[in-house]
Amino acid sequence: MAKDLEISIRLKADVSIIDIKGDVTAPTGQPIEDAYHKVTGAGAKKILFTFASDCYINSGGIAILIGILSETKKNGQVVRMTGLSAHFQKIFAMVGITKYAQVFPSEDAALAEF
Amino acid sequence: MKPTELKRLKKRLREAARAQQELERRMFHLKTLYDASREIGFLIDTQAILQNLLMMVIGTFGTFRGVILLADTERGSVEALTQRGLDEQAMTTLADMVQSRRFTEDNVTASLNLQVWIPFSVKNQLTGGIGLGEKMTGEPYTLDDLELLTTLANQAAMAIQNATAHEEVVRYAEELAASLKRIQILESIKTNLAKFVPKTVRDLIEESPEAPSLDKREADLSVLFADITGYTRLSAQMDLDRVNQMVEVYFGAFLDEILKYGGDVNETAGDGLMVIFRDPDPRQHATAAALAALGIQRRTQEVNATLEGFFEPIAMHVGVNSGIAAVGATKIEGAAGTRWTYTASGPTTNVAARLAALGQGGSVVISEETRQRLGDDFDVEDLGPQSLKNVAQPVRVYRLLPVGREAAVSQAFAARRRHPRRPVFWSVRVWIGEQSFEGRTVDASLHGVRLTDVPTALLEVGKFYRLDIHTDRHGEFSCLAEVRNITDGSVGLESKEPLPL
Repeated sequence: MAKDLEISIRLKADVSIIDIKGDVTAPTGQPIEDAYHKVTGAGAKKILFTFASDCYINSGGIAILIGILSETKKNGQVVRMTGLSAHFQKIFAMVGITKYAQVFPSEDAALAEF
Repeated sequence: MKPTELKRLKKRLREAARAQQELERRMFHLKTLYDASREIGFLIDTQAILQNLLMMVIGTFGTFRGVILLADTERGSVEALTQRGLDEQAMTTLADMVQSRRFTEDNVTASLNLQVWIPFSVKNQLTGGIGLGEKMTGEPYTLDDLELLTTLANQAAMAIQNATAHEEVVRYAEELAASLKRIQILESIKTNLAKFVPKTVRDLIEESPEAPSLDKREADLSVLFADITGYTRLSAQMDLDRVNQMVEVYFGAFLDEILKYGGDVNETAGDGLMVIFRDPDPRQHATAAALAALGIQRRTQEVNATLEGFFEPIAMHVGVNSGIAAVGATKIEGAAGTRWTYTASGPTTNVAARLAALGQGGSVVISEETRQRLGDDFDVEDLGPQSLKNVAQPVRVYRLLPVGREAAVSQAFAARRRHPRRPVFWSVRVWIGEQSFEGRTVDASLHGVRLTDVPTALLEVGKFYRLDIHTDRHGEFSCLAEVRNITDGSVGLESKEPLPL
């Protein structure tokens, strides 16, 4: 049973945090792109994606994130990720996402590294 | 632990980690295949299939750039295209290659700087391909990767094929619905137009809708004209609505009589009706016209009685003539358009109109030609030769008398309609006393036969003669038959026994 995607945006110091809950797939991933464009529009240069522990991400969802990373590259933004399960950390490494967005075990650890 | 054992253990751990990583990769690929079958297998839109597939492929292999194209290379057209990470210029280049028939794997990969291009085809009609840029990891695509891409490409081809079939079904359903709607509209138009179009024309159009034979042709028929005596005076006295109401009531009653005898209302003009009666048997349509004419007079009396006190009683004068007329369409062309009318024209029609004008209110006036065809079935009053307007020679006319035999004649007419005549080519020997004469049939019904090439001058109406009939299908047949009428060198006989039709 697919879980609805829930997105929220927070700001800690100069880091824009995009919280992601639910299933991330190509057909449902648009709100993540919208959130990214929103923080970018607000001038964000440091972005942290936090994934809830029950997040499910399929290949289509990964493509959404790759698309965002492609834009962050062009925009000169720094991206970090946290909250990913060990399984998804391996997948992200396998497909090369971790080359463009470092993954941290916690939000605090990620914030400390910006 | 010895150093060698430690080294071996570390090696095995590395191998186990690689195996674990490979297992994770294969699990991920398997999951992608599962998702692809689930997410694109049921899509019915080709563009949506390609978009979803491209996202899965990009996410599976980790690349910033990817494209999926579906093209009709014979026609040089791009049927569907989706991309991620490619610029406008790349898309234009791709479309140009398709249009200029330079669409090959080498050209695409070189022009778009792609690492792989996996082709697929849909029903051998469309050529497609999945193209991907370099991996984000910088690693090359492996054989396993290409195998998975090929499987996904085949899955996409299947999904597109299903979507195309579904689109065709939807299109057919829409076309069918539109056709049904058109048919409903046409039926509605037909129903409404039928009120204005003579039945003969409707039949001709239904027989041959694409090329109805409306050209004028000579045909033997009877024409009936009927109009209201003193219509001009009545319409001057009454308001228009009441005049129309009156005409509708009377003509509605007349229509029952006309249709009962197979007449076709050709024209109505205010107070007048022109009705055409046609039948392969020239006596049959004359009888039909005569019966309808008497029916019109009878119904006039009935409606007069019913409407007493509401309308002033009216009288109809009716004329009937039979003969050859030019039947078909008359085209009237003007600068503003073309108008077609379907009618019977010529002297037969003109005389019928004059006969109607000749009679007093309540009478039916028929021509000599019609009277001859009616034989002895009707009583008539000879009015002698009459000069008719615009008719060169005086015409001998008769007044058809309403007699008690009308019902019997009508029944016989109906019986003949139930047993219609059809052309037969039998040789017949007619016995007149001790002599016999060879003749041949024109047509026959179950109890009637019309002969020609026999000495009609020697035959008498009402007398019985023996007929020896030779038929190809039924051999020899003999019967006694009564002469019912003699017309134009042919004789009509009625047999009590059924004829071998």
